[in-house]
Amino acid sequence: MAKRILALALALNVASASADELLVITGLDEPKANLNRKQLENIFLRKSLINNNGVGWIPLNLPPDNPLRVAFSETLLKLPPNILEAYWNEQYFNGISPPHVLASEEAVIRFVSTTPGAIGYILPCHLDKRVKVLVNLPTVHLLKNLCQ
Amino acid sequence: MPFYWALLLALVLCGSPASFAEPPDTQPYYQWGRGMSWPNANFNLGGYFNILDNPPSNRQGNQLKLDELSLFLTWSPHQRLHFFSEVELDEWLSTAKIANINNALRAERLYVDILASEATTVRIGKFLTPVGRWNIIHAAPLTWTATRPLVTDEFSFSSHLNGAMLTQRLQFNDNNVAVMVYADNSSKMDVFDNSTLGFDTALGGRVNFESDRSWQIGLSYINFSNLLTPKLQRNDLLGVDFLWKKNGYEVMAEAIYRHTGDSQGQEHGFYLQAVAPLAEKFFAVGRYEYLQGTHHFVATDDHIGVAGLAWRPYVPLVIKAEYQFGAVHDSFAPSGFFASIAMLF
Repeated sequence: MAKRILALALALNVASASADELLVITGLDEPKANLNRKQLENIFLRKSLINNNGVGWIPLNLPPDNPLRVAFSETLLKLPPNILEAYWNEQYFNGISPPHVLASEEAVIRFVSTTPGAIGYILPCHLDKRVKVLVNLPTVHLLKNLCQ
Repeated sequence: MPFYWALLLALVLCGSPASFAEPPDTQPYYQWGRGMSWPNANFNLGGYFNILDNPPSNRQGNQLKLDELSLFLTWSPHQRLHFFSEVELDEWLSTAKIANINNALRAERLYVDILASEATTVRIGKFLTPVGRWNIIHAAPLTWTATRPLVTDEFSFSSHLNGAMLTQRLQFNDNNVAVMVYADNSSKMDVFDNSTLGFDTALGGRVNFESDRSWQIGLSYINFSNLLTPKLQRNDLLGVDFLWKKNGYEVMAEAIYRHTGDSQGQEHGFYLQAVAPLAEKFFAVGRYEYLQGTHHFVATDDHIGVAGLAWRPYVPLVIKAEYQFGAVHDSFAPSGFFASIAMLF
């Protein structure tokens, strides 16, 4: 009994301590992939278009003014969304479109859970059983207040 | 005066910044600067235009012209296949004349990318020559000046290849390295193109190192013969390039050395360009160029300077104004005032 209480306390502690991080998610059927930070960056910058199984990556973004999008962009890509538009202009010249934009984390979860190759990001407090976590991405941005 | 009417028309056609509204998931949608997309078909149609006001070489006053009107077509019928084409109307309309549309129409690019693996791509078709940086991002909405550095022009090396290219992306810690090798047989393979410049055959490669810290450096080599002079000796061209960007500041530089043993001669040169942000969305641009040797059979020893401003009020739109302190040879780089409006649509 004491061990169970201790385990629960540790789990709660970990959960609250991990609030300032982003979870990069994929569908439950997606094969396990050990992606490092650079590989993840290449996916969201559309430099890497398919995974090792030949399935096309479909990276997803939230709207550019969404705090989560800003945090993700500055944490992983080291630039805010508006500064990256010049990069996407060059990619457009080469026939590469930026990641699809979805309106909310719920929309991201629904799309990721039903689309092979889709990859997105959400807050830990919005994680549920429809998707699985690929990468935990710590961030200096304060995001706890976005959990409702 | 006509230039300013063109500017006003472009701004009216642009629409408001609200054109950046996010698209529905699967319905066809248009996004300003990103084209018309059909997500279910993985199809996109877009392009850009450039309206240029420049001093012609005959010194009879500036002329306004629709310098470029390009249409992009992108299609991915399979996860490993990516088709791309760019058709361009080149110098078709101007205040001086309306060119024959058949002569103005060109297939600028037409290729398929085969994604062999996550990091390996095979490209087949007609595509931009990967020498330096300017040539592969030369579209007017992407550059800071209306004028183009001499060391990157088509008299130094052809802007297009017709053949095949293999690209391998490598990763070292937090850095990307791209290695490209290619072969060209334009004399037998060139797609619909009214240009008389181009390669006869070519073989080359490029290595680009992309640091995680905002800078890139590249090395290029190409061995080629030209379409106009296929029986003359082959050329060897070596290039090095550099790019640094941070907080709106940018420094870009390229240098080339071309050598052959006959009347085509040798040439070497470089440019150094710097960009600095001023007030909101205004940028100051300065460039120095030097070219020495035989440039398209003409002896050159030219110092060129460009000083200008660029205004980027919206992401897909740039308005440029500059003065070029040109080369001795007006046909290469005339002195004078240049202005342009360029937009992705």
